[in-house]
Amino acid sequence: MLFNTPQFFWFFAIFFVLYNFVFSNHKKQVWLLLASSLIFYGAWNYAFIPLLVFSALSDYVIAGCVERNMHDPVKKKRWLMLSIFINLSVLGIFKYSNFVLQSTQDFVGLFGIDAHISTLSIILPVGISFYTFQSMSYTIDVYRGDMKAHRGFLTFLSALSFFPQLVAGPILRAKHILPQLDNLPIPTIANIRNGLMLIMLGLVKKTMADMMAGPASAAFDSNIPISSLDAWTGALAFTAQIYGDFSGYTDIAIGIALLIGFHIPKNFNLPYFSSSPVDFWRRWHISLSSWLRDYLYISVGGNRNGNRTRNVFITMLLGGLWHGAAWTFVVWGAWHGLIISITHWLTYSALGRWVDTHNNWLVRALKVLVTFYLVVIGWVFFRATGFDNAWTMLAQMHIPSGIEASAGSTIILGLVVAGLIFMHLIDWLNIRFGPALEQRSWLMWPILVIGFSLFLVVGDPGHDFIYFQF
Amino acid sequence: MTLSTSSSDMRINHSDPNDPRRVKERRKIALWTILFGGSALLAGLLVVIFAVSQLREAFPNPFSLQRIETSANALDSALRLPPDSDDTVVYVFGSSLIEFGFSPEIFDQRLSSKGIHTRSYNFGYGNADPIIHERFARRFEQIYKDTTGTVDLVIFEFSPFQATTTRAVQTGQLNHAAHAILGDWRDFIEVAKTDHEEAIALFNTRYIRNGVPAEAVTNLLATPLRNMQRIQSEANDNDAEPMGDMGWDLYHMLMSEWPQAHPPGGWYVENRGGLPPSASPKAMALAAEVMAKMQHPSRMEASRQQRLACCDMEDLNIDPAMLQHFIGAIKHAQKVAKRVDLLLMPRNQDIIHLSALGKANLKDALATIQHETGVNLVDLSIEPYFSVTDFFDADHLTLFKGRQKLSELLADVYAENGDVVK
Repeated sequence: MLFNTPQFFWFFAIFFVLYNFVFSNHKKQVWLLLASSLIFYGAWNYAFIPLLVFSALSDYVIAGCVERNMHDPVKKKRWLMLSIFINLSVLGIFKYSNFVLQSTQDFVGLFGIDAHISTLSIILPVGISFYTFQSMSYTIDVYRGDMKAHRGFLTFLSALSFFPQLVAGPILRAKHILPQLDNLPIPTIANIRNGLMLIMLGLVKKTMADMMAGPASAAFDSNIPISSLDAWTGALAFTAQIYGDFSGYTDIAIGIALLIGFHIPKNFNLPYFSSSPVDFWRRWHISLSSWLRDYLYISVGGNRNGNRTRNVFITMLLGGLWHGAAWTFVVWGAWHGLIISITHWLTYSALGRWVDTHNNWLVRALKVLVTFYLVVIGWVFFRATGFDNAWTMLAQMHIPSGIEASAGSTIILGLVVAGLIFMHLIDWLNIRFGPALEQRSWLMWPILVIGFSLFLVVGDPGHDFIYFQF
Repeated sequence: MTLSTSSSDMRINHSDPNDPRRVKERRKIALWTILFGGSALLAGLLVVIFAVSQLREAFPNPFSLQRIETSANALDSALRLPPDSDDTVVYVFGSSLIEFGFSPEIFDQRLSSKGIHTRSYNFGYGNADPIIHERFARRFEQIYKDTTGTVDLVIFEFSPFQATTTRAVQTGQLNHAAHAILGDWRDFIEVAKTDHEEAIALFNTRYIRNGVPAEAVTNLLATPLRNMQRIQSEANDNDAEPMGDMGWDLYHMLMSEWPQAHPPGGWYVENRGGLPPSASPKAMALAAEVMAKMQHPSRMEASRQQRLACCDMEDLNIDPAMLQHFIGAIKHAQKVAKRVDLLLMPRNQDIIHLSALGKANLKDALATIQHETGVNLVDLSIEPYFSVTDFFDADHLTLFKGRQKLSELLADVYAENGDVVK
């Protein structure tokens, strides 16, 4: 069930009425929330509900065991290891087993051995990467003493399966969502206005993203050589598509949660205005980057012992692999590891010091442009169907192929760039003028009408969100 | 009703989720949400309905939907045309092969010269698979059920490649739009039994979006880009002489000569659904030039490859469900027409070479259709009268020469059989 479909509208409408008008008791409301979340998840495939419940149950039980053994570092560590083992096994089996088998076959093939390893018929459960990370972080938080183990499996399962963010994040921390489920906060009018505004913005961004999918596909999936201009158009279109698609989903998720009084932290903060790759990861998929920082980067050593570069690489490689079971994602992660490491190195170099002392608007604009360029290069690997496809695109983008672009290509490029700017502009306007708009709430209604109209005219209900596959 | 903008009402115990005052506050806020958000959504919906209808009026055929929609509407208008009581009314149903390849005027004139008076109509439309044909034919049945016998003969063209398994899995936006345009809420409820998402999408397209699928709008950016890639590809192909804008020149010239064919891409009453049979010598010369360029071997081969990829055109592995839909279409037509014949259009035999499997599959499919419906077959598929110069691509007849030959030949076949009777 996708947010941008009529099915979800009716699902949420029924839930909303039941939640607010029929179920007045706290426990019943939590039950309703859980049942609705499972129906929402089951709409993709009911067979995977037990897996979700298993993930929740294992971490619920293990976190309890960790807490009971807080006095015994060895035992509590063993319980933690068990949790990590279970979660990574679930991920490994359902997400990476075929990738490992295929890679093994390809590797031995390099030595001339024709190993016919059959891949497994495994369907990837929607949102598995999100909820296993969420579940795992709960046990780690309890282990670290950052929170108490929760008493009440129903609430814990409701937290893990909370439908607004179940399938594509943001990745919620247990310490953030569990207290809200214990209290079931009442939204304020301001929450409702913000929620509706975010839903509308998310739908508009998703619509824009779907429009970008065509030019991106036309370039990436072209079976004939294309001009440099068209290659850039395709790469920029995907850059816009993935931002509109993912941040649009996140906006809708946050907005829906706000309508029922829940607060989900923001996941994006104008990422293409980043002034460095490090800054980019503070603004892009914030819930994942902070998760990787807190639970992986710090766990492997962080900035300590002079191994920062190695640790950044490990974190980003695994971050890349988290996105998908393909080597192109690994390379995408490695690329970001590389540019982050170079940024760290440059920061302390003579150039970095010079930039610090000449930090005027021109230098800042240049930094934003360079960062954007590096991010676009990364997206080529992310979008490509394979290395050949990625190299072809990169070559076409950078080496003149002799194929002339028509005048129309420039127009399409202009539209793609306009779309990219538009998506950031509406986000910027929301950040800049959102609070002021609350003081002029009469303006909100027409803005919502315009936004919903735009979505309903142009929007294509049923286009999958890209991050669902992760 | 005054509402606080925060739920920090001091009387409410926020640490007790079951405090009755919280329940009341929650309901108040929820009601406000429904009124505020619901009214915005409803207003947005009204804006959409208005905007899409304006769009369709301003650009009648932006998404190639005009023909199928106007053809369906024309079923009704054709009924209201005053037919000569002595004329035999002939409806020709089929795909774009019929739309561009059959001229009612030429067919009628040819038969008239042999003493047989007919009034024929072209109801061919592109992007048609057997499911759409079935919908169309059912609409035909619904409209004509009270005047059964008005139509003396339906010639139902069967494009076997539209019924292949390969074609069956390709349900693009135009198929969706066609289903939405030809169906109504009862059809969508039927669809909902197996695919509720598609049913809701059909409902939206039909009743909210005026037949324009959203995907058609969101694809607006990609279409010109792909067209440009095609032109670039052609420019890089030294084998074929580039066509440039010749096709558009011809299109504009014909449109200026055929005021009755406006808006483009529709069903034209004056020509009973077909394109006008002729044009000025200048336009005819340009058409011949364009067609000659389109008949270049590399372009024909590209067209063949495209048909092989989309429709398994040479092996013709027929999808049993699709075949049943086509049979259903014939049965609908049989309920209101005096007679229904099955037509196989001429095949571009220099380009499309049916494999042994393809021939066998076609033979089986035709046998099944005839067995289940009892229709006569008019098979022009291997007619030696047609050569590659009569086609502008792998399967469509040329606008003038090919169309004239087919219309005349079909008339000759019926005249020879002597079974076009009132």
